[in-house]
Amino acid sequence: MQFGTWFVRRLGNTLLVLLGVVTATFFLARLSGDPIDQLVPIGTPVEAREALRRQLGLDAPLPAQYLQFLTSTIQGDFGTSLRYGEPALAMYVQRFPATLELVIAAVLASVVIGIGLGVLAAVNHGRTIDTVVMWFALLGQAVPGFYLGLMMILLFSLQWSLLPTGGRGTWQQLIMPTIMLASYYVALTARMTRSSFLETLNLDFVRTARAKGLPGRTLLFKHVLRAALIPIVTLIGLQIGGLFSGAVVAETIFTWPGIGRLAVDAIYARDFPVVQATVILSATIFVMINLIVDIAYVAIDPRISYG
Amino acid sequence: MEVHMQVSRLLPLTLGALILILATAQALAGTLIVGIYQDVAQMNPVRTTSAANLRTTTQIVESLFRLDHDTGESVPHLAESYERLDDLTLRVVLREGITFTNGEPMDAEAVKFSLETLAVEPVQVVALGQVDRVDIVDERTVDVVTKAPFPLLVLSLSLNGHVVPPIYYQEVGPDGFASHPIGTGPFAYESRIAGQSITLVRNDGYWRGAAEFERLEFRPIPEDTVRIAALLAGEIHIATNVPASQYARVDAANGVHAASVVGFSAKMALLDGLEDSPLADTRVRQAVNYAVDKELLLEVLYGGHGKISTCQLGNPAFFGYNPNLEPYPYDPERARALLAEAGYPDGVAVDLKYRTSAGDDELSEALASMLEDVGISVNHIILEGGEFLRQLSAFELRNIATLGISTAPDTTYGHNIFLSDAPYSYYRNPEFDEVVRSAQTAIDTEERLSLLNEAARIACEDPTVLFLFSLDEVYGVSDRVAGWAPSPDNLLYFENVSLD
Repeated sequence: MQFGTWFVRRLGNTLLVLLGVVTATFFLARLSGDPIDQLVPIGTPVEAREALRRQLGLDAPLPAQYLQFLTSTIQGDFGTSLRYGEPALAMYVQRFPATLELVIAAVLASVVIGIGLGVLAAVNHGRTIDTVVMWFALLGQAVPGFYLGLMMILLFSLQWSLLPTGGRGTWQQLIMPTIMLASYYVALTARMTRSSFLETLNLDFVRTARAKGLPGRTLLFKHVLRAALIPIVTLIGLQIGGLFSGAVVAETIFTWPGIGRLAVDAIYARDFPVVQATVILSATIFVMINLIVDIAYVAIDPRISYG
Repeated sequence: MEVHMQVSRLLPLTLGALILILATAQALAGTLIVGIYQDVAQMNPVRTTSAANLRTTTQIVESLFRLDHDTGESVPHLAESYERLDDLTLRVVLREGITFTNGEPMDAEAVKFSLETLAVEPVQVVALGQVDRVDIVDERTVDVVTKAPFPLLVLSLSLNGHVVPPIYYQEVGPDGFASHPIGTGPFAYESRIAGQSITLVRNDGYWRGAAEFERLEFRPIPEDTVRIAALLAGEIHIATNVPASQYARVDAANGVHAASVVGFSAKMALLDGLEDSPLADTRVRQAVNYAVDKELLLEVLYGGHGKISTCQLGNPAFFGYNPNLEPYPYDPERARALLAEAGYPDGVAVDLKYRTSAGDDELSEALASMLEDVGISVNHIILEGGEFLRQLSAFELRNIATLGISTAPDTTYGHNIFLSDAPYSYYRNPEFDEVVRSAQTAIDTEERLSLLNEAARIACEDPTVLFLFSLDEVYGVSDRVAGWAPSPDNLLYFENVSLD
């Protein structure tokens, strides 16, 4: 199949997924409760509640609201936050760089430290280093993020006064949330790299390469690592989605002003426009990353073709 | 080349250090930082009644009256004096020479515009919906006219009577005002970093004298543990909403102390007295009140930082507080007997609903075990906050629901919720309805007090709720802050407060 045809079909699927997300978000949000309850003080008479509903544009029948929402979403208008009175899109755009920064830092940590540790364990297969690295990985996967986060604050902020407890702006403030967010993924990547690497080491082409006298280092890093990378690239692609959702906890604990906290607050407050904007835009980013991962496979492994 | 690389490597470090130094320098120049538990959603005080928002906005926009920190009584603020002309009319004389920070005068025109805008704002209906119009008498005098006799007017004007600059407000609209509020207050809006901080700068021309520090910053830190850690680490100077259970820990720490005040909120459990409920019978609701050991709960769960409710919502600082009422004593025997009398000798099964978001889980579990003890078997239902509120207004929050309620310091508000025709009242008592209705429009202070006392007596004997306690509002305060004390209205006042 031609790349063009494949790409168009893949893009079509992507758009369908997004329409599904848009629709589900709209109706699920509205099924789950009424924002009016949270905006008025207790004892507010029914007429005032209805007046507020009109003020916020939530009084039209649901299908009409949905059509209105679809047409304006396509035009890039996500409405105005019911609580903040600010455009939902602007709120997302303001907060997105913070989450992106955190996710990129965590991905870099997973890639550099995770793959590094994985390779280290694989080439030292069965030795003490291997055991130590795998214990470390087990710990990283087992310790809950919020616990790790709070413990880091107790030690690094309170006990030793080395790092600020939270906020964003300086590089010191990035350290603890990155460790908290990345710990699980560093561990996961390390384990995956190790096993993928060991598996590849036993393949025929490696034996052939060894037999023809290729130096060890060239073999490991030019041939084995490249072949072993395929499942790892998939893993990292999937991780990015997970990191965006995992960022919610890190953002809450470290007062990191990202979209995760924005989304959670909006869901609790039933701030529909903000919920819609965060879910739809995040879903779009996630689907696009998947698309890029698919294209990346082809670049890494010539055996995979568009299909 | 080599040198260049080293420099570029050093650059981020140097920059980081520079930012740190700058940040420290700014702190020394006098920025008081308050760690708040939730972000300020609405900075336009016209569109909110929540203390979480008003804590910030009231630094910028002020009211005609405000509550005296000590007595809890309304005292003139932007107003200079007031008098009642008749049952419907309140004459208010404004202070002279006050201007908004944009130069507009705070005059009768501004007050008329503000109050008439507030009166039609849906979220303000409970507080100021009774205001019909404002007549201008002269530049400094207005007559506030209500639709019906409204004895709560002055109190409502204290908590919600925010005066905004009319020309600016109309020019930017309510949302524009929220993104950059302007008022007469001790501080003016300076900047906001979304989700991270709101910074206000001292209003040097403040009519009561400029604040003693230059900037006031609000930082939302939602996690209690982290907010306290930030206080202990010296990153913030005041932490709001410290859980009562953390009082001792904060107070014992170096460089900080805990401060608390009896607030306007009460913990209780809503009792569903609707017709088909086992709790429709007064005796069952009384049994629930006898079955619970409030003192034990207050001591164990909240370290004793609160007061047992004396069978009414509100405390002695509330107008209408009935000093003759006593809490239901802890008496499981009596509870069992009352249940038997009501036709449940073998016990009765009820649903108990609560939300974890309000920190009510431990309390509810303890309540359940005490209720089980007298033969009320409890089915726990844990709800997410939004769903809890939906069920409340849909009459689905049955049979017992743990919640906290916070009202202005006048018991009318607490009673209003239980009127038979109130939007989400689970209580039916015609005698109570009649007394409260009369109190709502009684302008005569003595008469109103006696009606509210009577309403409290009825609501105690035929219990509206399971009366628990009012919890202290606890703050963590850095020792660097001098002269600050918490206020029962949960707002923050910084007059004569300094930061060393």
